[in-house]
Amino acid sequence: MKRDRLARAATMVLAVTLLIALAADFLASDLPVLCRVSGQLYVLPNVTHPAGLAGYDCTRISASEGPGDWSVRPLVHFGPYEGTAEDGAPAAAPPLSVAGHPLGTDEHGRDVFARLVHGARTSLGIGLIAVLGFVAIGVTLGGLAGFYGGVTDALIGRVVETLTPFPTLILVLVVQALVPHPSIVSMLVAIGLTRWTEVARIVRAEVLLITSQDYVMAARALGVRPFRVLVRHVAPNAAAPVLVTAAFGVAQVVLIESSLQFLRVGFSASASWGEMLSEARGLPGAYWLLLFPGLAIFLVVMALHAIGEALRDALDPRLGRPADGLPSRTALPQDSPTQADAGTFLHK
Amino acid sequence: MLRVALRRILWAIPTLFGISLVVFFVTTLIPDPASAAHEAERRDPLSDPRRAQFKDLPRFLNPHPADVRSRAEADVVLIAAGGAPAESAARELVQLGGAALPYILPQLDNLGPGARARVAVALAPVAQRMGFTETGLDEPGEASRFWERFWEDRAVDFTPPAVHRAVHRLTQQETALRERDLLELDTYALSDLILAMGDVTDRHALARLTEMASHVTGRPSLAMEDATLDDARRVRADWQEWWYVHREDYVAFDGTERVIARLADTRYGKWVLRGASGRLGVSSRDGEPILDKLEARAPLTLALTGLSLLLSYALAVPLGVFTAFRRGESVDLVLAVILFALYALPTFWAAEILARIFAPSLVLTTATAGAPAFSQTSFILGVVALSVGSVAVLSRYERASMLDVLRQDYIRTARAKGVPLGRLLVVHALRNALMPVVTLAGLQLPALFGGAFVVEEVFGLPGMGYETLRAVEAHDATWLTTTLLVLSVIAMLGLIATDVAAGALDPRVRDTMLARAGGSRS
Repeated sequence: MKRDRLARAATMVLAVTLLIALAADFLASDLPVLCRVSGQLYVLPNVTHPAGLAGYDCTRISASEGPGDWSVRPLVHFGPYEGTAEDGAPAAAPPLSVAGHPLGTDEHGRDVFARLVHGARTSLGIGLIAVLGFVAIGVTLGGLAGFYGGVTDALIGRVVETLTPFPTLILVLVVQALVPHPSIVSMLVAIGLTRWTEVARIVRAEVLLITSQDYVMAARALGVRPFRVLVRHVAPNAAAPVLVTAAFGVAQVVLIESSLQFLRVGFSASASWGEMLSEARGLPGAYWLLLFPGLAIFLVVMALHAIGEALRDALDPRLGRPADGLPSRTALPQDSPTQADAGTFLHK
Repeated sequence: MLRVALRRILWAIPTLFGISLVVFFVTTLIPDPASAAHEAERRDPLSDPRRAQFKDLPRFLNPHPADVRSRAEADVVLIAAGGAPAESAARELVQLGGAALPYILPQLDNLGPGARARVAVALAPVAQRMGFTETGLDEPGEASRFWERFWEDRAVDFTPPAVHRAVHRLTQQETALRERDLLELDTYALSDLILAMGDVTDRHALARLTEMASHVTGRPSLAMEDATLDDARRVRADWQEWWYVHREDYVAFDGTERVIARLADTRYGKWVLRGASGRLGVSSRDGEPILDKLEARAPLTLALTGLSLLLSYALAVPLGVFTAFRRGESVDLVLAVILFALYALPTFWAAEILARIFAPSLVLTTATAGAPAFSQTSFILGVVALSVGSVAVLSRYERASMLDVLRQDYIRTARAKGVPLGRLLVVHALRNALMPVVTLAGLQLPALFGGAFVVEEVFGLPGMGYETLRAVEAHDATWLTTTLLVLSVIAMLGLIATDVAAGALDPRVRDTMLARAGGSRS
């Protein structure tokens, strides 16, 4: 029961963060959600940033309101960017000290709330895309290795063993530093290059385990084609551990992305939690610059971990909980690949 | 046991090759410096700025490796033909200098008189560089006669033993006569000059050698008589690195060398051989040899990760045993929640918070001044910050594996026959429960390296991470790729060590390792 409650709370946290990321422009933007300026109606200028409103922000729009003009503002009237000089946003204001900046401002007078909200979009966006990418690679290659065995297996195993010792953070850092134009794409490629190996290893182990089961043997004996065996029998069973890895994978990518931004070798995003923390270093007294983005990363990563563990418990009865008295993976059964095999993947 | 270890180490060879390929792939991402600004220099293949990264060479296979002989002969053909390409060919020939003479001077007779004169005139700057003051060297007839005489008189000097003696004499003592001997050999003596630079211990001798080398190549010499020891090392490394890149311009391949050069004189070949020979190149940020920098920076980073790995195990194993033994009790639950939270704590946030609590003065200095300084407080805090995550991971694994073991029948038997609790846990249970966690150490290393970089930056520790971030700012590609290579190889060695340790701890693992390998033979 306790575990269920934890999982439910974690799912809530993640769902809320996802919603915040999706609705970032409605929660914090320097342009209104809906407005009428000089007789012209703008719908969702906060998302579309129309050319007609270039140079305007919420403050200027309400200041220059003519007859018949009106605007519906977002929750916080500031975007994640540096304000214009005329709005006179105070630099490094603590939370609740200045009207309109609920979580205060940073060194450059940028709204902390707006940056947090837009940072959610950066972190989760990158996390989800990267994981989709490397899970796809890992499932394909791991599945091939496990299903076909032989030379395919040996080759993929070599590649996995080659990529395993690479420190992902340092690889991504070096790649970002060397490519002529560091961007999200180069970062995603660099992350994907090394992180798929874990997925491949797990998928391969699962496939080996499943194909050695009697029901698969029976299906083969009945003359079911290999591809059908793969789709009907192997895939559904291997899906569980892949989902679990994916949940942990998103957490890892969020950590890697924020670490890189913290070290200032990422790419330029509109806002990022890691970059906010990096800026907090210049102002040791400003606790809110350290607290909020750090807490955001912490909560998201913790939620992802909790979801991963809950998924593991729920989706795969074989894994079992120690309390149930069922054998778990770490018991080193002779035929199932274990954690101990992680380093020695493939000696055949 | 030995068989397991040997087999594991042999399997590391293809992995090592794979790692070098991946890092090599990363080096190809380096933007090509031959932009529009260098367009003028590009016509001059010898001083192509791309050469420093070997970008002028084919990637993996060089069907026609160019050496001084092939370059000089091609230049002679171009000069003899005359016209526009002759001009740049003449420039190249002058750069090749004395090293090219043994291949072109004997061939001059085979050329027609006009072509011979053109080549001889093109060589005039070489004669000047050699210190010949004869006039009329740029006159066709005079020049031809001069070079003919030159080769008749001095062909004997252009042999390896003669050069070797001449260079040796220069390192011993300086006289105008000895210098003159070498001057007349021009670039033919470079190979020995650079070799001698590595051997000399005398600062003045080094200065003489570099001065001679810079005279014949036109590179700035950099060495001064009153240079400090560090400067001398830097100058030497700079010359050796330059020689590694440009050796083929001054040395001709012989038979076997030519065959090897098809693989070795390529972008990958040169890059990987430089690494394998221990010369890792020179930092483009400050001209320091990379190897010296590594020696200065790596110990701190490795100590940081090593100590944090030790600390993690020292904390995680007892924690895991304890929580497994008290499973389901409130202590277990509280610790589980705490560890679960620690597991999600970003390293840099943990480091920042630790720094603010325990060393507030440090935060200000590292954030503003940015100068790294080793201090005991920051090192200890760094180890702690780095360990937070791995303690959480490892103790959770240890708990799970301990629970499995505690359920086994033999534990019940041991209990029934009255083994004391401490002995039961430590001797009977822990020995088996430790194995799965020990194998995690190797997988933990790459993550710890990344964490160490972040921690060094937060606490201003002058390790590899700090150096790497400065290299990022300066686009020092050599340092960046070397760091990646070195850390990956260390992590790979860690993986091997844990595998072998797993085999040593658990005969079952040893058997499966050997059994699997045996299966592949059949």
